Amino acid sequence: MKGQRTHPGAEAIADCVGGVRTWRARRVAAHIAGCPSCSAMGRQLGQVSAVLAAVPPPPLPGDVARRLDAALATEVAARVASGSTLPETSVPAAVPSGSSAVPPESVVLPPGSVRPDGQRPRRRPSGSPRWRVPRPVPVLTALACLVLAGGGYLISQSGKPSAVSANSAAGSAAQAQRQPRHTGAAFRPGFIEGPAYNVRSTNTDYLTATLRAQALSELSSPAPSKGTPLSPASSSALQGCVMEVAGNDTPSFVDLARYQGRPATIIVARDHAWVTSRGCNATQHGVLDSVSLSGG
Amino acid sequence: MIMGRRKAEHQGALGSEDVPDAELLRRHLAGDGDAFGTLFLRHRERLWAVALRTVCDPDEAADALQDAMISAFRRAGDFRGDSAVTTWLHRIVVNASLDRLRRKAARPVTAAGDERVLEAVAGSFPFATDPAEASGIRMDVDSALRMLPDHQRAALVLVDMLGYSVAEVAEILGISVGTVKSRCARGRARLAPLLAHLGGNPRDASRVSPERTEGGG
Repeated sequence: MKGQRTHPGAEAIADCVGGVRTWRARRVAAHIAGCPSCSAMGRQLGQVSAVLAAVPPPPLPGDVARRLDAALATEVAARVASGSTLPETSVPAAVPSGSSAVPPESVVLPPGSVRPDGQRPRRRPSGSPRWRVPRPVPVLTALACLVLAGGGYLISQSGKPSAVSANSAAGSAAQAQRQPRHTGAAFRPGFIEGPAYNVRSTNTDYLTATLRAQALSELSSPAPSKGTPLSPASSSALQGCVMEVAGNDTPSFVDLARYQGRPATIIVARDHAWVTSRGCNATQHGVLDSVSLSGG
Repeated sequence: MIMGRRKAEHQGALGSEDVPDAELLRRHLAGDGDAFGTLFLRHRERLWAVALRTVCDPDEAADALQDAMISAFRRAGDFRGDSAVTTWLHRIVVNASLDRLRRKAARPVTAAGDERVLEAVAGSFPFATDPAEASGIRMDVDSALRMLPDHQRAALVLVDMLGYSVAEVAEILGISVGTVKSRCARGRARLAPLLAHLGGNPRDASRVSPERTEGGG
């Protein structure tokens, strides 16, 4: 019909502006070049990109960072406990196949609850954080069942900072100090009889220059009453690490944090603090740094 | 290969003494208990942004990122070295995020207007003049992004919001460059009328429809 002009739709213009090769791209491009209205539409599409680009990347929340640190520590400990030098490959994973990603099995632990069946709860309380302990390997799952059957495995957690007493029966520090150290009774894989010290995950980045002050600061802060979920394997590995590193010093707390920006385990006793790698255990317990906390 | 401004950020964060990503992955495979943690720490801020912007829900994003991290930890042996380690990590995170969305589709969506979700997803706008305006913009952007099909949003988030090149996104998503361009273009076309008031003057929102005929042209 004379006097009428057909304009391409926004998607056709978007394709053209976005460099998509379509059968009508040349025709649309020619139209845009001669049509003020469609040129404006093209500019408007460009402004969409500008608006989106202006949104700064959201920072990683501290609780998510701590949760990732704890999950990774569990993975590392499970790997160490299994004696494997290669990552576990039998677990369905979010492989980069371009298809669906199947996440590893995991346990969702709502606040203050214990999931002896290892199942994910259907719903969580609105607004509450979710803490998930990845199920390391089948054999460790079996160990966890043993622990749970014994009734000695208490996992509790809360916000930040968090902590866990891996054994409710042995939760008293005074009782722990009476326990003989470096004995089989203190460290039995598969059964958590300790640690009777506080395990935190503060996400603090301890630094060489300020290690002493940071350790003293944490030491003087009240111990969180609830805390970080630890698998039996990671708890056992950690316990072995602490016994080897701290020796006869009874730790006040252990912090699954960072040192010089890297994941690290900070062991703090009354008079001394040590920094070890996250993979530290009874047989691999290199100390990255240490500092005396006694005196001025 | 991840390049551009991310490379600059990456190098700035690492310092000269840090070892390359691929070497860390190799050490992880060899049994180094710290290597993967160091590698993931380098990239997790950006991977968080990818997950959060893709799923538009902080809880789901946290789940997706943790799923991806553990998958990468356990399946590091699957990395063949035919792409950058960061590309491989991004791909795992995107796939985990899309998988979360698929599963979430069967569950009730997060209530609209949840301020915590909006703030986490949209971040802050540098061009907002006051908190109320910033909040409004956040709601607009978040709501608009939610209108997109998942795969369009994933492509658009990576290209327009996080600054990856089309070629990089093609590699991350495992699709062709043309498909990335197409998804981004279609996503922008859908967003144009929804965000026009933020970036300019919408001339004709109705033109999202295929074609329009004007009289007297």
